[in-house]
Amino acid sequence: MRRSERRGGARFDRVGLSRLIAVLVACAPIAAAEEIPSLEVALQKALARSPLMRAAGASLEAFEAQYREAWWSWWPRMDLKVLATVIPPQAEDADNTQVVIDSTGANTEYRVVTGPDITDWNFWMKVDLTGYVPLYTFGKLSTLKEMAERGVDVGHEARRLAESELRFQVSRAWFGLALAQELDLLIEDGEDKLKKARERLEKLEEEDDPEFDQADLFRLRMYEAQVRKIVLTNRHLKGVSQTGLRVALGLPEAEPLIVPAIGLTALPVTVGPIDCYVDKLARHRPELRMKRHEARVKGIEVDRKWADFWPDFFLAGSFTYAYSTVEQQDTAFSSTVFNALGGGAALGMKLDLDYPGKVARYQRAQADHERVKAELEVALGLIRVELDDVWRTATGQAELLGVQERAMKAARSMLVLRTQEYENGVDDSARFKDVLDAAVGYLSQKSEWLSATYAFNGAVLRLSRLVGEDVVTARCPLTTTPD
Amino acid sequence: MRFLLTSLFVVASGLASAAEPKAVVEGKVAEIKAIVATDKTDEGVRSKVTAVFESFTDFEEFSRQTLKTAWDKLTPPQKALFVDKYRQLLHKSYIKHFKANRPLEVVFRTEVEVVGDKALVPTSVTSGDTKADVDYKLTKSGETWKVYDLEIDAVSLMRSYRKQFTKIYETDGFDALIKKIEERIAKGDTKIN
Repeated sequence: MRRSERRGGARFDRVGLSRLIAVLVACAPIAAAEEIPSLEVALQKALARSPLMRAAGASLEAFEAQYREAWWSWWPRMDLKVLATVIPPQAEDADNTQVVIDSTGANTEYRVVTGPDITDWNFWMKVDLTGYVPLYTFGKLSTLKEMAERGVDVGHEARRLAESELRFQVSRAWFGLALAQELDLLIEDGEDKLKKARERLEKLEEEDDPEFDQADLFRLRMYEAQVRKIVLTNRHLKGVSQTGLRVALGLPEAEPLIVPAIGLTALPVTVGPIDCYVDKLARHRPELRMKRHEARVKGIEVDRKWADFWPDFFLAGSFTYAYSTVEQQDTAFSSTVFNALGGGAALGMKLDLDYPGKVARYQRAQADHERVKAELEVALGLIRVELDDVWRTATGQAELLGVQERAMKAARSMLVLRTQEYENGVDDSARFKDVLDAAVGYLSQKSEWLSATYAFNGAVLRLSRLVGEDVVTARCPLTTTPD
Repeated sequence: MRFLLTSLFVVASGLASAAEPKAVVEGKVAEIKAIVATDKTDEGVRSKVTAVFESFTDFEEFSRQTLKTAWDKLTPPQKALFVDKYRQLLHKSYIKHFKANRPLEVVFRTEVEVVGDKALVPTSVTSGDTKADVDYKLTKSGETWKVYDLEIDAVSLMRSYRKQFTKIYETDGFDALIKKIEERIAKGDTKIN
């Protein structure tokens, strides 16, 4: 009985434990899967979440705040100071008086002050208001405002740059996944064909069929290795693309990423003449636009340093009011005997006389301006060289894509023909190895064509990023071909 | 004015002649799609598709185009025998692609080309994961248009057989050719796929 109970207890323990585990597993937080149905959705999510965009947005906000600060510099600057406290009155000794003879010879009797009367606390306050309104500054304030405006422009360009970079990263990862998916299908198809071929060869070998040729078996092994090579390459591509998309979307590692069957197609664009992209580059490239803004800021800085040679004219005013419930206010804050009320205004001029320093600062600003202008030219030249490279790559990839497509179609036709001849042909010369060759040829050509499609899309994305505008939607007219 | 009217007439007749072969293919494709969608067995599908294939194929023209110069050297009974055997072989080649529960999607890729009494109707067929370009070559046979060649992914069925038939005919003669065709028909359906 005891043994039975013990067994029952053990069973209960096991059942209870497994139930507990089931409950714990059910209650464990399950990472919500992130579903990305399209590239557009991926881009929207990335733009909304990316730290790159957040940084660019914060930077722009800082520039806008600087501009608001500069804008308000025209307004009067007011400074208000209010003091309030409790003070003791000065105690007087009624029995101890002192007579003072003034200049007219009259005698005045004063009671002798014996010190603060700390048994009688009274209220004391004082208000000081001073104001400063710039009247004419020889352009110092307007240049400050203009520089702040350029700062905001730089902030906008920095955000465009971040967006452009993000679009490039997301799109490239997306097309990488599309290629990986297509290659997966191709591999599946290839492996299926090779498996059937192997089964057929093994059957022929088993049956000692005269059609069996050892060379076919070796050929098959070579082809299997080729397919395996594509598998390994594809595994790498898929991993890198998923990580790229995950990072761009700001997804944690544990969160599953669900991407539908994408289907890799070439971006619908024909690469136009390079002049058109040079024009786009000059107008839209964020880095160049930022550099131009920087050059303008440096130019304004020169004007500002020139304005420093001249004085500032301003209007200043002040107002003071003091009040206390005691007359004798000999405190740390005020030794005024009586409560006060006063104010006034005055025209003013301020001029820093450090002219040697001003001349040096002015010359430095001029040199800085020249440096940035030269850097702009250098940047334009370097980007122009990069554009040449990217444009030639894009046009080359477009041509290669056409070549690879024709080759893939020819390989497919060859496979159809060889299969037709072998399966339904009446000529004995149709060989199994021809079908195998054609199948692997098609597999290889289709893989090349898919890779060329991915490479072309990548080149178009690079071109878009380089010129600072989506070249698929903002097209260039077609006139020339690469040299 | 006369030129304009003549031009309009030529354009209108061109459109009409292009529409006819396309309508024939469209009609037959619709029949095949209905068969594939409704019939439950591969056997049933193939039997019905065979009937459709029979109804819009000109096997004599198919044979004549395949044998080309050798055709003229055959006697009428040889021609009749060849057409019959070749018909069976073509059935075997074409019909095996159709299976039950595998719906077909057919789109007409580009405009139909018509030159004289010959027409080319380009289509793309999708069945499951498989997609192929199937171009129908038609000839006007009496009042109707009939198929005399099929190009699957740019591979002409007729040209493929022409190469093989000509080689056997020139080397071993007509009887050997018929024998080879019979052997192929008698062989199993599928070797690889």
